[in-house]
Amino acid sequence: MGALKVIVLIVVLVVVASVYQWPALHPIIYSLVAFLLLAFLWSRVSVKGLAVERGLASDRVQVGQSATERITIVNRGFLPKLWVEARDFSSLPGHRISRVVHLGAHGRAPWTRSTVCWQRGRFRMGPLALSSGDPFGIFNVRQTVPIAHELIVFPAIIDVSGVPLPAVNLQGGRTRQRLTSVATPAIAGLREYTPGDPLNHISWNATARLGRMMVKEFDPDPTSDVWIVLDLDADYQYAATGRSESPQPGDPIQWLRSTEDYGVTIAASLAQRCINEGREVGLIVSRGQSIRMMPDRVERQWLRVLETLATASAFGSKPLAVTLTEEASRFSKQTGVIIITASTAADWTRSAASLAQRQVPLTVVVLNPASFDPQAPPSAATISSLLAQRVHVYPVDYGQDLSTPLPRLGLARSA
Amino acid sequence: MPEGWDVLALHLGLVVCAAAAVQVSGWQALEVSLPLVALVAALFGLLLARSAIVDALAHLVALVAGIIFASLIVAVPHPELGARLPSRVKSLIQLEWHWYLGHPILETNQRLLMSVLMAAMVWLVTYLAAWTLFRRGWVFASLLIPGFLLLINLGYAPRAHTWPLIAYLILGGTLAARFHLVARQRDWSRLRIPSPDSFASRFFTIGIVVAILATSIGWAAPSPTVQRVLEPLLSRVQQPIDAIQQKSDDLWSNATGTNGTGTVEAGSYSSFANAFSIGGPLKLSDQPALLLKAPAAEYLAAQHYDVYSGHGWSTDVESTFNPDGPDGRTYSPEMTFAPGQRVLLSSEVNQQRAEIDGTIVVLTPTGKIMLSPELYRSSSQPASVRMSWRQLKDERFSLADDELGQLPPDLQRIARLVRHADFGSDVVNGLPQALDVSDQDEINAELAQLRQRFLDVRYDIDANGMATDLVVSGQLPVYDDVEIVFSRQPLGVGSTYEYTALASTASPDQLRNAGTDYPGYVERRYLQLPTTITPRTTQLAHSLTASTDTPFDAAMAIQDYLRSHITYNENVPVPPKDQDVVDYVLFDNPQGYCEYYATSMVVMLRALGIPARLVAGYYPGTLDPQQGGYLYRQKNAHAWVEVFFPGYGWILFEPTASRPDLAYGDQPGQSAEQAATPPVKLTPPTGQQATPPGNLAIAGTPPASLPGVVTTPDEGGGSGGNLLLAGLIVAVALLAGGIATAFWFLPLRDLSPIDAVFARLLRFGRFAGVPASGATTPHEFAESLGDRIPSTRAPAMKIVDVYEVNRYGDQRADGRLVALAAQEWHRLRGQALKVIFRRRRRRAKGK
Repeated sequence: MGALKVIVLIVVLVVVASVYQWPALHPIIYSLVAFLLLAFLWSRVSVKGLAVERGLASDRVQVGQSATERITIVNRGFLPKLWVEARDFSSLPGHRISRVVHLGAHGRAPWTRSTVCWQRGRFRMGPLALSSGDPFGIFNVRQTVPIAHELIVFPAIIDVSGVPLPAVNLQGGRTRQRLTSVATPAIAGLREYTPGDPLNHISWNATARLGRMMVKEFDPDPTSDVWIVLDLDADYQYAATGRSESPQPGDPIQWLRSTEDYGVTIAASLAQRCINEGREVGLIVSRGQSIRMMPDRVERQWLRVLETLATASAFGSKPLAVTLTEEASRFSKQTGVIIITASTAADWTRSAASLAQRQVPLTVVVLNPASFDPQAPPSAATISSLLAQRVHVYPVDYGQDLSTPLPRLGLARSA
Repeated sequence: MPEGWDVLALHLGLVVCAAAAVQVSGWQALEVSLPLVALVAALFGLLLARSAIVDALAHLVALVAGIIFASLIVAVPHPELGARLPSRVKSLIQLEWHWYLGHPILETNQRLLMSVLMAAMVWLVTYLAAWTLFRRGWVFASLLIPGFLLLINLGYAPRAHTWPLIAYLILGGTLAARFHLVARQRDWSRLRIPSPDSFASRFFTIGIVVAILATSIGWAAPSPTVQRVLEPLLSRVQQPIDAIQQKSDDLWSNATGTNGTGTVEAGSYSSFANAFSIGGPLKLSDQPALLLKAPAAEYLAAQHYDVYSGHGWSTDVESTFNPDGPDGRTYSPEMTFAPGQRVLLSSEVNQQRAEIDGTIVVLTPTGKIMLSPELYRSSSQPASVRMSWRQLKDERFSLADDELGQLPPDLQRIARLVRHADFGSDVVNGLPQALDVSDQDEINAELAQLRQRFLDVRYDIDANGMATDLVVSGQLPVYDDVEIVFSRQPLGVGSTYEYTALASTASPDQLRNAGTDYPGYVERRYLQLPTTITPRTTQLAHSLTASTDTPFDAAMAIQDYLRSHITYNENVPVPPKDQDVVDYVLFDNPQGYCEYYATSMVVMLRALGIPARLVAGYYPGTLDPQQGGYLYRQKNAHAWVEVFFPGYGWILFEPTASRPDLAYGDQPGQSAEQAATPPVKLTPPTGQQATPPGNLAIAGTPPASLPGVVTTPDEGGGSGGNLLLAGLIVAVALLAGGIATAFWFLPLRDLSPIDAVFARLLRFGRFAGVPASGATTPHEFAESLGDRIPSTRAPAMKIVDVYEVNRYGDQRADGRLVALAAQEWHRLRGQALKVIFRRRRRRAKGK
């Protein structure tokens, strides 16, 4: 019942009452005007003096975990609010924290909502729209409370123990081709301190012995670093058709719907495993605008990887072969490479073969597009091509339980 | 009950309140419980709204059910309609059909018809209110429909009460608040927003409190404020509004019957209908009715009644008239007059009368009824005058010189023509031929004119070739017996007309000497009494007049008795149905208002053999110097008595105790009118083509005309009114259809073809219960639609694909894609409608 309708009705009645000199209509007209005025006044005060308090239990969660938020609406006025609709416009999927409340004079209405996060990403919590009005629905008022904070949902971590990390055998007695900037158990030598060197690299014994500032130089870890190359070329991403049911808590794999999600989840899981094993992990996301993270072994590297993967999405077109060619100089016999891709293009398999020929320890996790989308090409040819090049291949199908060890195809490359 | 039982209760209360308002508003003919009808109709509407039936079919079913139920509920207490109930219902439906076709309805059946029509109207209103609320969720419309009924009742009912209106506003406000919550909760449920369970009671309570507050303010506020505030504005727009109002009055008056007040029996004398019932409290407002600009305030007569039934008054003027013309058309007993043309009065009624003039400004329209004091003569407006008629069968009129002036006006010209012609021995078609050819041509032309007016006239001649007699068959109007006058133009607020009337100046002695030689029509119409008259009433009349010798003294004696023995009281109860009203008021409950006094006097006079009739109109208003005239208000509506005195006509008597006594003979001396009886004059009705103008003129008089008014819509006949009503309904239906079509197509007008297809898809989604919110992407919407109706998924996705390409792509979608989308839309629509219909039917079966 909009105000316009009531006003039109009043005008019509006024005209009829005046033209026909019909005084019996006057009380009706006055009553309607009184209705209108009361409704208007009611609506004006219905959102006056409202305040909103909003907070998250934690602003970082992983897929599969719950994000808990608490909202409190406070009525600072002395007039009760018959109804206040708090409609939330958070971007977190499934976060249904909207609510309608009644507030007494100086009353508070707190409520909490825990939402299982099933989609990685960076989400805004808010804005919150407060709507109210008169009891008759004639006038509505709305007040918006701006965005309060953000929530980052990291990718899920699954058991990928079935994927052996690329083995790197560092042979002794040979000069290392390079040094590493991070501290490792293998000290390669000493040199004089130069400004900019980390303080924790100073060798205090040598400094005391030689009388000048000396710093330690480190060899890379014998297990060496691992580069994870995640292919997010938009041209080769596939999603399972059909709409999923509402996600239920449990195995996060059930919420993954696309090769993109599978790739990100496997990449995050492998990164965690590498860091747990004390290996340095580097990440290359191959897409229109590639992302590269230099290898590091520390805990914060894992967080950085997770943050990067949380918001990584297929964007633009850049063939995996190009990325492999561009980054080939970073890969060596001492550098393990794990490629995760759903691409069925033939050219990148040649690049991979080239790496294999250079004896770069290489493992390829091939996501089978056909298992996601029946219309998509199967990955059989790609796998065959890689096996022919003696590359370790781990095929992954949609819906496959990734908590069990992934099947390994092909022969283990001889050391 | 998804909306809540309290919503249903409020809705039922609302419609029952509206029906009760009609029930208690003094529509005396009602023989049906309208609240019961409303209750059943609301539940019926609820059932239909909940069913899977399509709208048009539901309305048809409701209409038929309403007619049957209305007939049924009226038929139950009327065994005289038939032995079994179905036969009674059938009789009533036949009666309704006759009424629809415009056939005359007997007075006894008019009450039944009125009851059925009122019940059907309440059914329809209530059903529509329930339908709009429970099927469409349009609470505003649902409140407006019974509100409209209340307003109509308030404006037209004889004794409308205020309490139903107050109850309606309070219930309506509460329902609006409560249903607002229902609508909100639907939205919240769709958006999965939880809300407290206590809201229903809170909204109910707050709604009723605010409604009471607003209604109290409405009734406490000073009344003239609106008028005062809007006076400057209204003065500017008054003219176009008046024009519209005049048109609506015209339509309304045509739609409700031939006389502008409704052919069916109204509830009170103050409505000036052709019948009314006596009884119940009198509620007349202070609303200005008219302004009279005249030298003195007069009793203004509207309607005269001759038939008393024991509980009310009506007129049998229709029975004096044969409506079936020889040309196959139907006529009504009215004569039409041009502005200024006078109704011709004979010497039987116009002695001792003076011509008086006045101007009336209409302030509250009463249909087309024109008012005038005493004997109406002429007006400044084209007028239709309803009068009684005289049926003739080979009746012979002497052409002797001394009797020529006594001939009926319509025969005077032919009488003069044949009286002055010399006839030979030639006979053509049984009529002697005049020797002078030009005389014969004039006679033939006049005879042809009379034949067109359904008068078959022949003449006899003597041996000298002189005409001696006219022999006439057919029907003649009795100009002395005018019952009511209508304007042939709409009379809206501000309409003005002038009248000329004849007021009696006869002294008491003259009236005492008038004698009792009453004309035939007077004895036939104004002495009739029903069998309900009790012996003690007659005995009382005789005892009161035992010492009187003349009708005038008898009338004065009865008048004096009534004025002194009946207490004036406007809040009297309705007289018992099984007792004659006059008997009741004279002996059991001697109190009442004007209609009780007047009825008692007329009945007692008739019991004594003195012709009398009851007149409804206005008693004299008060002088309003600001407006320059006498202001008559609604509360001036009055009933009084006229008694017939041969030669002097109808003389006014005032038996009501609250009114001052009347004086007689205060204008002594004969008027110019009385010196010589003027010739009777007739004029053709406006637009009447059957009578060529000027070819029937009697020397010195305006041309005469055809009797009656044909039943074309222009002339406002009974079936014409029904046709107009039907036409009005069709027009409203067409208008509603046009608006709906415009609402359907106009939003698509400026859209590109693919946008239009997508807009239709969105509409379809709403219809299928998948409304698209602002945050829904086109593909999400298509998916939701597909979830609801799987068969629509593929076509909807294709439409959305094309739409997105067109809307968000680099280039517009080409014609082939748009055509494909349109094709998909047609496929989707056909399939989905089937599915929706099947589901609704299944759901209905499940319920």
